[in-house]
Amino acid sequence: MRPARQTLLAGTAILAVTAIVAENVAFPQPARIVLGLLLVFALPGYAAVCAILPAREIPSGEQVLASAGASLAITTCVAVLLAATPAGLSRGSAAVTLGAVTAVAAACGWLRTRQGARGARGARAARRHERRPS
Amino acid sequence: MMTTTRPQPPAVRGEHRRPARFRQHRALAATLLCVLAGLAVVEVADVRAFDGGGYTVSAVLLLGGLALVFAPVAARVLARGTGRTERLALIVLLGLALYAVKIQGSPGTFTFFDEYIHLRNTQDILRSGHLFQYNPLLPTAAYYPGLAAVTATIVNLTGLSPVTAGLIVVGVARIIVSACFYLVAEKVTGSSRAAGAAGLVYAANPMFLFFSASFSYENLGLPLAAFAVWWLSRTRGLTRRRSRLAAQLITVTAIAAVVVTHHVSAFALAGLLAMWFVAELALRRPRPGRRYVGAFAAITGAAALGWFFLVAKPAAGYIIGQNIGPALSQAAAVLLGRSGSRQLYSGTLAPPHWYILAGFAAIGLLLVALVPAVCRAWRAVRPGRPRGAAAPRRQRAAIAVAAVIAIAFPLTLLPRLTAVGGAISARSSEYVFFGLGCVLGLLIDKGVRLPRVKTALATALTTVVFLGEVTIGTSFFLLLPQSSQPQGFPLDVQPDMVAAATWARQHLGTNQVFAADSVNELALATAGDENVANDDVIYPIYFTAGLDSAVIKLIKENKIHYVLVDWRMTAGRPKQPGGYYFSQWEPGAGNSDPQPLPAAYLAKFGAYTCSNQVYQSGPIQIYDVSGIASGTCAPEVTP
Repeated sequence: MRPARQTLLAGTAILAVTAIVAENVAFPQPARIVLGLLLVFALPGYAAVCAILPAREIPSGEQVLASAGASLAITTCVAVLLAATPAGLSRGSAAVTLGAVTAVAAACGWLRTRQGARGARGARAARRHERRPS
Repeated sequence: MMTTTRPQPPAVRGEHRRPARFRQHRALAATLLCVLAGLAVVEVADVRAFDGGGYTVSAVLLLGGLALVFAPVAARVLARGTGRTERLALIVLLGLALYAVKIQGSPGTFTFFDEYIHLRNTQDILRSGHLFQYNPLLPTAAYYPGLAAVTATIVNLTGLSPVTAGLIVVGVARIIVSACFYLVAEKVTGSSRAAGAAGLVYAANPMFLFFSASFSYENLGLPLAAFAVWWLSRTRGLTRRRSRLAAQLITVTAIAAVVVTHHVSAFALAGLLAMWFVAELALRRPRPGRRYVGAFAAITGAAALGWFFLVAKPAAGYIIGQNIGPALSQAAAVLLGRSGSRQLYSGTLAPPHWYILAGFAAIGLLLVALVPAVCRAWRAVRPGRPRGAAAPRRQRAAIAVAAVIAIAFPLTLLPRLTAVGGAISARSSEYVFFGLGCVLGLLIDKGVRLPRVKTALATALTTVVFLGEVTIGTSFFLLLPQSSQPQGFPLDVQPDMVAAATWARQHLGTNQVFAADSVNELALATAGDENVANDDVIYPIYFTAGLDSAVIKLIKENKIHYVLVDWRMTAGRPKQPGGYYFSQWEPGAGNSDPQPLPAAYLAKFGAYTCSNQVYQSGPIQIYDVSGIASGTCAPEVTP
């Protein structure tokens, strides 16, 4: 389960970086739409939920809901904060900020999931070692 | 999470050899087909109304289509053998299907007044990149920029139009509110079937079909609040302390998002959390079990109040001065017998009797069901009950909160009897039905055993409540899209209004102060990017036969530079509730048999000096009165 999650988090980070690039490079419109919608409704929340709960403490169906809800909340806060700064809310600032938030959260989630996986492997090895007759 | 598992019902004759899963898939497929068929019937009704077919027949078709969407989902949700995941999926499907009904009525465009308010907000953020630009349609809305900022972000990132982006935002928010409500109701009631019933009752609130599907800040604020409640209830019981604490970062983010998105949602969230905290305290839940709720209630309350009074300064006048204050004082006057109550379902055109009857039936059913449901909740909450009658300790506080909210339901109906309280009563249903749904769900799950006949009866009753609440939430003549060639004054923005507004933007510049009726002002504020004067103040300009001193004073005081005249006002009154062109306070508004505006009231703008016509296309004219506004020109009758 955990390698799959790490792969998804790596994919999330790659998509977030791609979304940032897409704002500066001519991308086909359908790709921009898909990337933009993912960046607003799915990726930041998924990365944040994985970073916060690396041990998959809620079922996958609820995780989808948590990702969507958290994404919407994060996007709302980021958009309002950006619009309140002198830089303002623009195509570039929105993509860079949301993409960066997502990439950082995905990296945190990837590391925490990896640590958790290592910890679990270590615990299993220790249990095996304890059971072995001396 | 407690879900009741009961033995599967016996197989229907001839089906006993088929696996249960096959039967479930077949039932689910049949439900989906019914939903699609219902949406098709709704489409037929919409097209028929647009083409000018008989309105009453089209309305009956629409309600039939809605029943075809709602009833099969209700039957499947209330059935005993339906699984938890399927119930959740069906509740979300119902929310989306009813959202589709709203979009079918006006695909690709907005129709509600509130939608134009937030479209203007979005356009302002897109144009300036910054918050708090002046919004002439509702100044308060600019200070709650959450919805507009998210929509502008999508427009920026995808290149979609603001209307499409807004439809997507509200659609996603609707999925979130449907799912979160189901999951919260499941926690409250401890049963997936009760949660499903609660979801059905919530979908039956009078605002759910149309208003809750509109591009309005409440329709993002409320889903975010529901998400915050679900996430908090879901994560505060995590066993690992580090995860539990970290998870509250998302709760804080969601609360912040609610605070900057919608005032009433933020206050409702603070109130709900405070009630939850007090209930847990009163019911003596052990300290570890009631963690975080009190702190988040305080944080939400402080943030909502701070934003309301320190940032969104016009909001206090709007919410308290213009809405809650008058509604409460009028309700008190009605209760004390100092003034008569408003006639329900009144308007320019009376709806059919069956339409009124359906509304009363829905309210009657809800009130009748509320009594045993509250008794059931009381029995579940009351300490010292014999084992088996009381709810588990972790549920008691939530049930108590739901019951208190549900008891408020009859009280929220009172403002409907006043002239200005109808909107408040309708809007409050979006919040009150949270509690009402949970308590009624409790009744359905634990109050009666539901073999097939009783399930069918429960389905029928919830469908009657749903249809009846639709009639309460929506005026009969606003159920369907307007005819492509409307008789009299149109209800919605027309293409020629958009053309006039676009011309004004291109030739007169943006942010010019206009006087216009309540429909043309929407086009001017969005397509034209102009500032429209407050109709409640300036309507007398249009109700005199000459440019007298009162009219001149109003033009000067409101710095009106242009007056828009739509000659369709002389062809007939609008069919909206109240039947007004500008304001509910204007002469003739609310009369059962009002006369259209006399032509002389509009002709005066072409009969005086200092009022120069600068635009004419079809029935729309624009007059330049900037000379009068600046005091450099005194109007006289032209020879």
